[in-house]
Amino acid sequence: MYIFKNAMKNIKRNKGRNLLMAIVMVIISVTCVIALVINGATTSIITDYKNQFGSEVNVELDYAKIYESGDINELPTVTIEELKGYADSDYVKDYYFYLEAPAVSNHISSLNQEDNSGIQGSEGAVGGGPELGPPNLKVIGSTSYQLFEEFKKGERKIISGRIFENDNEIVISEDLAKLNNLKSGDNIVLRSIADVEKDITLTITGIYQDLTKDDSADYAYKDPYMTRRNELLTNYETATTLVGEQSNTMSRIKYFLNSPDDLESFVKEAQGKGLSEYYNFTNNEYLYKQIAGPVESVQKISTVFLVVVLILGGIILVLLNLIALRERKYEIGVLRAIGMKKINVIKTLVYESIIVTMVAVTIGLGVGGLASQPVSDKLLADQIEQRQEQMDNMGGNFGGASAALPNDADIIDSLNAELDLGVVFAIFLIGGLLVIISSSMSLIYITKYEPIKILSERN
Amino acid sequence: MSVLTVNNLSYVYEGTKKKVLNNINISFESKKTYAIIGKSGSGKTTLLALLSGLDLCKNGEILYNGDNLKTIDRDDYRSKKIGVIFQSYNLLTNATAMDNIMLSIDISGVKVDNKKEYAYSLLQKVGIDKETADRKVLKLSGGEQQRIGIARALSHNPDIIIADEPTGNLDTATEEGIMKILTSLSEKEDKCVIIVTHSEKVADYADEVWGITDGKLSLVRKKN
Ligand SMILES: Nc1ncnc2c1ncn2[C@@H]1O[C@H](COP(=O)(O)OP(=O)(O)O)[C@@H](O)[C@H]1O
Ligand SMILES: [Mg+2]
Repeated sequence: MYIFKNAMKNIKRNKGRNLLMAIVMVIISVTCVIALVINGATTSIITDYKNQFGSEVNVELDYAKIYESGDINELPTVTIEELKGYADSDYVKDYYFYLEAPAVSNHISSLNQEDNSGIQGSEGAVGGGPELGPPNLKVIGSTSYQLFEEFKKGERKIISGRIFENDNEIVISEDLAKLNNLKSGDNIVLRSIADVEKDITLTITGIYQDLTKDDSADYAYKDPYMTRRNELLTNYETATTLVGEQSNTMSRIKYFLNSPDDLESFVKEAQGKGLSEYYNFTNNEYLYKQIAGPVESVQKISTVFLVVVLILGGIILVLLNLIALRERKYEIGVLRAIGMKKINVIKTLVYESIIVTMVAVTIGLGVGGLASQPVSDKLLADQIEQRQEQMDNMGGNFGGASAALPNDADIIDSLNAELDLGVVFAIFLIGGLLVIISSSMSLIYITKYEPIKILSERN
Repeated sequence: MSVLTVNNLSYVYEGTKKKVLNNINISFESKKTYAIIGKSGSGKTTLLALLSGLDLCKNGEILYNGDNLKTIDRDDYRSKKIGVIFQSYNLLTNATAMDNIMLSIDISGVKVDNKKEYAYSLLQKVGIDKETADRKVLKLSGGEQQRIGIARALSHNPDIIIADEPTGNLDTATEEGIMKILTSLSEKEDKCVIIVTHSEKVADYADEVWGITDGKLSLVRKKN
């Protein structure tokens, strides 16, 4: 008991030294708390998003590879049946096919369409068939998952009628409906791009509202085909009738893997089943980077901070102790000379160190806990702003090529930076480390110390 | 009866050749004050280090009540059985005089009814008043520090007091007072008091005076 009391008194006796140590330790623990809290929050959100985006796999031709090899006469093909075959895998949780079919209509004006006359078929053009303007509508057919996915995310919602159920049923956007005075139950006639002779009649079963920001007006070049609100949603079979035989090459498949980490194994497996090496399985890393990028940056910053502070703080603590070692040595000598046992001297030093560290770490936990949320908000806001600036610069260069960019609403712009038990545990672990650092040199000295030194060292 | 016996003790510092102590034999008894007198560098402090168990001899032996210092718990020996007054005080300089005394009592494990009062009275005995007792050692004079060192050596009521130049920093009047305290310890409290000194005047207080020259220890005179 007297050892503990003596340790307490010793702390008071060496106020200056201990205050300095405590301040360094408070700074270390505040930073560690904030960094750990932010790290925890970002890690969980990143894992979420990685799973969401990383496990969505598309199949694409690897043009770089094709270009490299040079002597490819005919592009390798992959059939729908083959793609379905690859989906029969332990790595795949789910998959869907979808098809984006460009379509033209003589009867419907689309949004962002500058003049309708060009689209009117005029006889006598190349090949004798009716001349077609550029596609002004996009039909998206899917084995349904993707469309519902957008509805699930709340980006689109049906505001009247119902979603398509049978072949040749479609839903159209509110804006398109208004522009053409269309409502559920009306029929529209589209002309297929693949087979210009053929008109296809589709029945509107519902109107959807698109809640994403319409930024098409911001761009100088307005392309109706690229305008979201010109999308007609239908099932996969209906879309294939619009592209005819081309459906085999225009169809896209999206696989959903059980884990983003399975991508490589999945590719190997598919190649084993005969997938040409000129095809690539890609996940939506780009979109992921856009959405989770700021959060990833914040995580990196916090990790670097954690490491730097731990190293710097550790060095400062060692230096402080090195400066104090002379005093310490003398103190140890006195205690040993008047018969205090080695183990009790060690206890005294360790108690001192533990008391100072615990006080510092507790303060650190409090301050860090309070500061975590504002700091993380600020960091994230800075990162988002930085990205926005980069994006704006890029936007200037590429004009309207913003199809793959997420909406502002998609970017993760808040983190739940809360102190949890794991962080508290980690901080006390770090506290333990600080105790070891701050008493190690004295402890090493004690084990080597011979009481006789007290007589020579002072004189 | 002999409490501390030195048999055939020789000592050479590591890395040197000179025998600082050369075949020393002496027996210390309770109720007596001893003075060991010698010039500076004659080996007085070396002998004190060995007697107090701060160092171990390679040749010869030192026995405390018949037990070899090599084999007993020397921490216990230093904290309970002997009280050492160091030439350079060796006090905790950041602590108060009181704290130094209290800590020594705590380390020895001696039971005292009212520790604080006891410590104050000990300090009073060597001429340190309460106000001085509560000041940091760092802010006290050499003489005051020496007296605190003496009080600390007495704090756990040891059998043997070993003092290295205990009056080196004191004026004549205080020196007298301190020497009276030390000699009365042997006379009235049955202690064995060993004083290492270069001063003939201090040696005069002792019952036995031993001289140390060229590493040899020999009896100079004895009181009857
Ligand atoms: N740690 C040491 N290493 C080597 N020689 C030492 C050491 N301490 C003391 N000496 C030498 O031993 C001799 C006796 O020293 P010491 O016992 O301190 O003398 P005194 O206390 O009588 O003045 C001196 O010659 C001194 O230089
Ligand atoms: Mg000396």
